[in-house]
Amino acid sequence: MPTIRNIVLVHGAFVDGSGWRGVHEELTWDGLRVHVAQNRALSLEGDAVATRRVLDGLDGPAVLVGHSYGGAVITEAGTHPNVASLVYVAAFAPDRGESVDTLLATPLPILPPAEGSLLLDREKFAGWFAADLPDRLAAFMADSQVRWSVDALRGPVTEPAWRHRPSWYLLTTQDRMIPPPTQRMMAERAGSTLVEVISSHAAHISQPVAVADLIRQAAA
Amino acid sequence: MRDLHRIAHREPPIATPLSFAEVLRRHRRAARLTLEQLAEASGVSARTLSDMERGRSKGPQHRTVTALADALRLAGAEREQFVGLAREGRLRDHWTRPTGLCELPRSVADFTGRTAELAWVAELIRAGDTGVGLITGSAGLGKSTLTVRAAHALRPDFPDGVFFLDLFGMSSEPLPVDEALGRLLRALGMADQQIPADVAARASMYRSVLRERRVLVVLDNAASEEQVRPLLPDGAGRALVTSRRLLAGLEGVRRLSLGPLPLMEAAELLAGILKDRGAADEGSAFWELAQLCGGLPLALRIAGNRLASRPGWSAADFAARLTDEERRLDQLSAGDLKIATAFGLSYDQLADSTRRVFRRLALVPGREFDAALSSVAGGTSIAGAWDALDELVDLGLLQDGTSGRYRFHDLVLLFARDRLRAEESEAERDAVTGTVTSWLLRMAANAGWWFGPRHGHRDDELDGLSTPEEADHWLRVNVDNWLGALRQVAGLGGHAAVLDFAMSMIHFSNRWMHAVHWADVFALGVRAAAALGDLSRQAAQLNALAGVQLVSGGDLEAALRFTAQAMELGVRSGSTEEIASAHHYAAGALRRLGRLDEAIEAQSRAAELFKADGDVDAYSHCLGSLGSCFRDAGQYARALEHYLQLWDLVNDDTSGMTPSEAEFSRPIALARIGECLGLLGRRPEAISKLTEAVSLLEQARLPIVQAGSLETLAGLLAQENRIGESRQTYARAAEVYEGVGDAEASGRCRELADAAL
Repeated sequence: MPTIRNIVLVHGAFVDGSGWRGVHEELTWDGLRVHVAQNRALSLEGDAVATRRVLDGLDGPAVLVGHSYGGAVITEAGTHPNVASLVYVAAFAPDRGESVDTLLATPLPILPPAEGSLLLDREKFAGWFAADLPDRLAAFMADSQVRWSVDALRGPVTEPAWRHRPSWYLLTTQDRMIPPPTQRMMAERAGSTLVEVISSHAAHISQPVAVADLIRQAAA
Repeated sequence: MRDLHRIAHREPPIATPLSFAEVLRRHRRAARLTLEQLAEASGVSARTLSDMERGRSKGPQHRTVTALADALRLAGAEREQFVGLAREGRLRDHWTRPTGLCELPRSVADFTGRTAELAWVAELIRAGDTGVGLITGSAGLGKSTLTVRAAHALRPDFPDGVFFLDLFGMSSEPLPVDEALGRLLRALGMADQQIPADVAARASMYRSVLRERRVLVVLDNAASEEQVRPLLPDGAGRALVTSRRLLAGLEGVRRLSLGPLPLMEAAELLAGILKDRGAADEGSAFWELAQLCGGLPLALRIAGNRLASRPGWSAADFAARLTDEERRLDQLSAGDLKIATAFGLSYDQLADSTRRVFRRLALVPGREFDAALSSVAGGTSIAGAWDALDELVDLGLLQDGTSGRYRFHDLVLLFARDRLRAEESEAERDAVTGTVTSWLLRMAANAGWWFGPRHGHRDDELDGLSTPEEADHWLRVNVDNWLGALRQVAGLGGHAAVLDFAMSMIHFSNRWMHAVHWADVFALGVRAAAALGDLSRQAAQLNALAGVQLVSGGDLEAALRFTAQAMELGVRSGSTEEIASAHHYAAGALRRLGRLDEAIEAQSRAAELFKADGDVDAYSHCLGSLGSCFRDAGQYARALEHYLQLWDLVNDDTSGMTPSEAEFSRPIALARIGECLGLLGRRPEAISKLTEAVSLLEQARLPIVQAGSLETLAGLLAQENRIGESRQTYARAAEVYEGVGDAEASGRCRELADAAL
């Protein structure tokens, strides 16, 4: 049985915390206490504060999990004393002074910023973000995107938590949002235990069992 | 083999054995049916039928065969012959595969999907930067099936072979590292006698053997980093590992987390299993069923097989039943629930007797069982056990391995245990355990007595083992069964049974020196004898325990303590044989400790006692040991004298020595004679003896002794200025050393071969 009872899930850009549903179902079935943080995606600092607030309310140590941009959030917030370990799921793990922006190697199909916030081109959403999800689900996600502010994109990490906590990394082999070589580079420099999964960027939805497996091992 | 013989005996005597294909064709013609008509009547596709009649499918599945027998209206002896021939075909199919050490299992015929995963593995193995791939994920996802499939596809890349080893990571006793190395080394061509006893030496031999070879090692179901690490090849070799754990401590490994099958592929897998039903209109029910099984291949396969075996059921009915069953089992975890649901539904449809065999097999102590053991556990005839096993394999509730042996998937075993607890009382379970363990111990003891002097204790009626080779094989493949039985019986204070068994193993243990469990077996024997107050057999067990310590890497001081106790008990009980053995083993320990005078004295005493007692085999061992002691002490003439006595003994047909013992000792004695002659400066004689010994050793396949003799011979030839021959002989010695993984000695001889130019 896992020794850590609390799991905190932090979602990524353009989506909200409801994408964790499958992972939540797997983990709560095992009796783990799962908390889903919601990012306002206005700034990295603001989202890190929101996650820290969730961590403040816990009765013991937690595994802190981030998907995509949520990786930057857990890297910034994860030095919190209640964090025992970190799990990155197709996620950014910036180093000191880096941001998601500085780590993005290839241009994404992002529409020109409107009032300082970003959306993915809804025509390209399925192919880039969610190629292995059912068409109808991908279409819904494209239409229900959460705006992502340029400040969150450019917010630099101050003291990366992966320098202070053990970390696990789930690399998505068919990811077009964060290319696998970039993921590998981040995982290796963080010294993470690296596991690959055949998946698009949306692994938390398409591969909830694999994601939950990794979280369980990080909690063990 | 036994089982095949049994089946053959059951068949009515016929002049030429008929094949299943011929019998099928004959029955179809007799029934005046075309292929299409029989396909219609049986639900088996015409194409499959045609393959069977042409002998392309030699071992069709049991349920296909029974469907055909029904359609052909076969009954009685005819039906029995028909079903029996098909079964024999399935078993022969296992047996005709290349010899079975660490051999890759067959890939499943209905493998579906996983294209990206297979490509990931191929890319990893071929890319060259990382040599090790780990497939991880929870139970029932098909990690092993995928890995076996990938390994088959990669076979052409590995000219030196693909090896497969189940590490039993999820069982309560995962395969120990030394045993794993032993099995791999044997699969790589090392003989038992060449394989060192301790883990470090085995690991170094393994690395050295693999250094020059391009092999793929598949390590299935790994328990821990410590278990896997020594088994990973370096250099040109590659490895694929499966584990439910991430094995985060392993370096230089790429890991792939396996997810459930996507819905599309899951539905395809079901459709593939059910293709013979020709039910094209069930598409949406397949999807529902695939969803209910959670994309888990194990659950899908079991559900599909259940459906295939019930032509009357529709996929929609089945999906509805699964939904009900799931409600009943909702205390299980998410993934396990899907699987247990599928198991439960298959189990409920079995005949009572088959259900009983299935759940009681959970009480078998080891990981595998055959029809004989199944019949004992299930309380049924052998024929009944065969039928139950066939049906359970058809339904995917058991897996059939090589040579008529069967096993559970881990999850199915849990399910069987659960059913056993729910359906049988504690008293019933204890009774079955008692029957199984006592049968295993009696079988094992009976097999062991093949190797004892004059096979005095064998009961030829009990086991049907008809040669020492069969007995040897039975003991090896059933080791975890009889060892488990021994521990259970010892735990319950069954002293007499434990002691009888441990006595039967004394001689067999010499044939299988490096097995890890002998110290446990004989320690239990000593305890049982002490409890029974049986002094002479306690002495025998202490001597056996001392013998175990003499295998390289053992504790020699402990051996001396054991022999001292054995000596005392031997004297008190007046057992000359045990006193002599105690001297013999003590001498062995003393010689290794460099206490040569004491060793010679003890060994001489043993030789006298054995000779007086008429135990010629033991006497011959003493002569050889005395020769070695004198040689160590630099007394070459006395050493030669003893080796010559041994030589006379092994060549004397009237000596009373066991022929196989004489056969084994002959080439070694000759080699030692040659070496002593060389040490005494009688070079021409030495060269002639060693030349003869080398060719005898080659025939007897004793390469370690052979390599040493070649090296000595080469040195003598050089001293005689026969440079060309010496060079050739060193080169040959280098080859033989290399073959046994001794790189250092091989390099030394290679250098000498070149230096002699």
